[in-house]
Amino acid sequence: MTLIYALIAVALIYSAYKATRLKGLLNAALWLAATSCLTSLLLYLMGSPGVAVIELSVGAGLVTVLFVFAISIVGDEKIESKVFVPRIAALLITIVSFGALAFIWASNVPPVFTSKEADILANTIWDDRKIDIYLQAALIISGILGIMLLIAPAVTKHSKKEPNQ
Amino acid sequence: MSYVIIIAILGLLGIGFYCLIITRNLLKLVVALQVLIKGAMLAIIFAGSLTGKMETAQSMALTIIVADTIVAVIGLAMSIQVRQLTGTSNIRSISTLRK
Repeated sequence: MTLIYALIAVALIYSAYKATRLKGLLNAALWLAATSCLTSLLLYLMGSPGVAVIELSVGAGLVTVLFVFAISIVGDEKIESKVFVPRIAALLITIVSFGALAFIWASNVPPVFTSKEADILANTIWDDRKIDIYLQAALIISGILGIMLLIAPAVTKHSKKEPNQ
Repeated sequence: MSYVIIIAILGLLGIGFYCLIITRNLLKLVVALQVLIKGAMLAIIFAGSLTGKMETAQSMALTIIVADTIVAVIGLAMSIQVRQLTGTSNIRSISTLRK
């Protein structure tokens, strides 16, 4: 079982690396979909099939479609300007911060992980976390507004003046 | 098995964080955020399974998925609008929108 987890973890890290470092945006979107698929597989193995299904349908499905749609409008572009932080400095910051986190984690040996079934997820969602559900509804409405913004043409000074002429 | 999952979580968080620092393309910024959020979601589910509070962790993961999707939608919408207004997807162009 550990071997399956290890294989999925390696594939997950590789696809995440490809998604962030590839030049083409369309390839990056497809690798991101692969990352999402592997994340949902790991979630399923860790004993949360409900979350895994939603992650698969939303993360690998909806978000990928939105990405492809956005790339078809924006197009691929090579940006030549300088980076804010030099690559070496960024790599050092990442290694130091996450290395420290890994050290803290490794020094306290974590308890043995066992995948468990959640028994009363519905009660937790609808009773204990009622406020969060309202917040999620508000977030979904803002997402709908975001999609409307995505589809609407950009408002420029010229387009504002056009109706008066 | 715990260590394998911790390595996967740290790998995702590290790759997302590094790309967030280094990238200049707005669309790539959204990709980096997505990778970062996936790492955070895995960490929350893992923490839930370790502490035995799986249902709380799952409900929080569902909230994360919703928020993650909204972040992607708003980010993509913003990048399209910035591209149409300024002609480039460079992050630096956002600061010139007021001019």
